Amino acid sequence: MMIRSILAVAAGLLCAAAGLRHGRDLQAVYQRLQRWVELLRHLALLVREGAGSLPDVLIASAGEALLPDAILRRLAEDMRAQPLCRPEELADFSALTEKERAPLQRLMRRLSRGSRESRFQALQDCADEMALLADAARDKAQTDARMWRQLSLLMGACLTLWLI
Amino acid sequence: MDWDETRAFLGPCFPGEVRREIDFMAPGQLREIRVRANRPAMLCAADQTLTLPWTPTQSQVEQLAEALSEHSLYARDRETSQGFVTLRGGHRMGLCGHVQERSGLLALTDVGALCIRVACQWPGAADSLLPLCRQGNAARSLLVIGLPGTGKTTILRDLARQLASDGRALQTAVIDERGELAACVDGAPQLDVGATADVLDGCPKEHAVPWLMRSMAPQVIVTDELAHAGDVAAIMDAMACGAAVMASVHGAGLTELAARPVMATLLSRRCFHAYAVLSPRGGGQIAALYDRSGSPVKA
Repeated sequence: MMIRSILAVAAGLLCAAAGLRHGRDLQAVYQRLQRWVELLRHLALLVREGAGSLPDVLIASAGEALLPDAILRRLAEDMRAQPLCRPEELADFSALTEKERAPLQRLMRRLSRGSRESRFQALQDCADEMALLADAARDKAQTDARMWRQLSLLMGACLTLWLI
Repeated sequence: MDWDETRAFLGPCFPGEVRREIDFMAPGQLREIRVRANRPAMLCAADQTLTLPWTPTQSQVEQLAEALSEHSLYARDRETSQGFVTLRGGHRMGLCGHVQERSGLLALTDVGALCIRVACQWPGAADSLLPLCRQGNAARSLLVIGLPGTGKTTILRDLARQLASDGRALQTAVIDERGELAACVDGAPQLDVGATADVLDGCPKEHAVPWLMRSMAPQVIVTDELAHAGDVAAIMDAMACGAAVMASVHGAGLTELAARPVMATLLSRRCFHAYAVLSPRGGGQIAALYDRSGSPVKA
């Protein structure tokens, strides 16, 4: 009886752990998207002000030790080192998910040419897209967390019944 | 910026075939690089024009403009609306393309041609003019007359440098309306205009003169390319306030200048102490010197 109870509790705990891990991944994606939104909005303001060259404003806005900041800093350095290359050729978004990559690649194409207003608009559009993705990621994180919580309880209960 | 620095700045912005030709140039030889969409690029040296084996597309021309401006073209719309951008090192990039009017400002789109004028500094270019412009602690006004590309700006820059540098430096103000004399980037002159020279960059002469007289009390004002009646009135104001003016004007000679109604006023009122006419051969060579009444004088 004791062993059966321990097995039931262990099954419930395993389900809960899997849920927690999944939830943490989703939370990380959400936080990264939120950081992109902050960065892009800040960048848009700097571009609207004409606060400096594109590499300068990229570095000025990317001040933290997070992945989006690191990507933008790297892009700025590459733009300085290879001035003939366009941002879309230099930007490395391989560490991001497919969903995150698409709006950022579109942004890079629009950011490489055009007037101050068009580049500002490109940044605003991308920030809006990322904000939508962030909202979706947050909702998914909440839904999945709830689902895993319920699943772990259910699994624990089912196993207990079955073992009894 | 010396020639090695200029090469290091220009080189990475151009493809290999252009870079190799630039590398072959001797210091002071390269004057301009002309790049046009779907036509071969050209290097204009002092004595020859080289056609290069590089025919850029419009998109490449635009990317080159971005690269040369260090990706700051978007932020410099006021400059591009006037047709040029001052680059690091004092070089000037003239732009051509499709122009649209947006909220009262001319906006350049689809850049299709570039003219990169390589800034050069010839210390001593104005040595022969200095005795005419300076008497003790006072300066005397001088007008430099020359055709495009004959070295007017280079001579004026060296005059400013010499008047504002030695032990008896005069308070000098440079009105750099087109960013060619001092070539300021982020407020700092990229070319040597002297230790005591204050540079007012990008300001039309008619606004710049009262501004400087009010704020900097210059003994000498150096300015490039008098063109309109407003420019002439402004420098006459400066002279009336006690400042000597070193200026330049497009023209083949004194007679041709006198035929232009706007400039005739300057000559008839004998505003300048002397006139220097540059040789059409270029290189800042002085073809003739005249005193305030228009009589030839010896250098």
